[in-house]
Amino acid sequence: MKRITLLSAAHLHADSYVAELKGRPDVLLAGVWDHDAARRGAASARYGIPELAGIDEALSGAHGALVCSENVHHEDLVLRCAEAKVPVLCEKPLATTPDAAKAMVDACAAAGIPLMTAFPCRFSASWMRFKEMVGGGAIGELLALRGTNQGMCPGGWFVDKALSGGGAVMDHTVHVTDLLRDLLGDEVERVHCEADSRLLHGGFDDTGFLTFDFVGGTFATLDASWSRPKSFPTWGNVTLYAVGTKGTLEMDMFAQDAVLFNDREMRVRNQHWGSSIDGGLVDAFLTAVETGEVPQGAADGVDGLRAVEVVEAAYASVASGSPESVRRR
Amino acid sequence: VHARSLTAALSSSNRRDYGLTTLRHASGVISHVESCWADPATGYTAYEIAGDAGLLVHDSRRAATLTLSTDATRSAAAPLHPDDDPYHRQAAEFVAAVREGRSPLADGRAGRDAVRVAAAAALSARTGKAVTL
Repeated sequence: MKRITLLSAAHLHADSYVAELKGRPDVLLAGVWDHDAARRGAASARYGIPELAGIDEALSGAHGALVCSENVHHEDLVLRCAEAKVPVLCEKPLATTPDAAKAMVDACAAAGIPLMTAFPCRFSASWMRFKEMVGGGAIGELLALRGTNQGMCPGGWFVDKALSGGGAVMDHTVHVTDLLRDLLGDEVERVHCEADSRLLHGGFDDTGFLTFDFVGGTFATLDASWSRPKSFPTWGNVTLYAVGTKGTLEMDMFAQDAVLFNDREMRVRNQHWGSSIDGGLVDAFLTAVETGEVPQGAADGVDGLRAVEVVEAAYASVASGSPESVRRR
Repeated sequence: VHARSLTAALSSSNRRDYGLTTLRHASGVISHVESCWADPATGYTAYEIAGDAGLLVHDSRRAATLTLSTDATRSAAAPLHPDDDPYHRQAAEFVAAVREGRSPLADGRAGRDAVRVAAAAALSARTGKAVTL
């Protein structure tokens, strides 16, 4: 039986991870800790798991920990896991600065525990097929890509830079950056980012259009904006369009939908029926807990760090108005 | 059960078939079923369920997650993880039913009832009359 503990339920993805873990017969959810007592109590009631008063108590006897706090607290919590030698799955972005992410990677390596970054898109059935098709030469030689991770603004602490580290560019750059790195086996050399706050007028970046130049010469763009309005029928999307010498391949990762027109709420909502992406992520983490190593195919701490370095270069580009080199730690 | 079909209307050498059936269920719900062997393109499934507070619609042609375009082909797919494949889930349900000594989700009675409706539809298409079960 694996005892897994939840460190903070600030991030909405905690709901899905907990639901997946509850479906695994060899997992015991030890409980939830959160620095916010009200949120801790609410999460304990919602998940039907014990409330844990302190981090030490939460990590004592745990075989693995999930960090789903506000972005700025990832570093402290992962360092506590390293001290306690508890394998950890950390929500993305791994940290708000590359230096913090590097400290987390180094601490976990020194402690000999696996650190995983929550990049569940890697476990999408459509993404796995996309990689197979591109790798198998379905569109010839890969030349260029265009991605989107457009979403609704999640509000709350996500738009408080002191807790999130940034807006849409901080929140939505990392998923597609990770998919591109996973596909190309290459690093981003240079980033240009055009960002603004004219959709929501909230003093945080709600719009971000990024251009990536990869070391190997491939170029790609990404729309990371919180541009889906409140009336949009779903939270957002992850799409990728690949152009090759022999054709094109387009992925719309969450298109497996039925549409519900609901007169009681006067809303139209997409009802997703495709395979879960979080199930594969949770299984990979449980493998990491068992073997002490991040399994092949999952994103480790370095993958999380590389994505945060791209975010850093994106914000530097917003400030300078020019493409900026990615500084790898 | 009230139905029309091409096999009933045309010669048996017709290679394409198409049937339209309207059902009134015991609960009062009305349903309409389109059975198609006439579309040269790959098969698809679609449904529309209407109630007094809303509508649920699905069309597999609009649910593709992968679209490949080359000079030779244009194809679409919506992959699932193997465990989520309906054939896999059907087999798993059968194994679970045997293990637990219970009736599977779609049991023999469900199969028999579906055959009764299909036979009634075929009869209605031949006679042009509605059939009551």
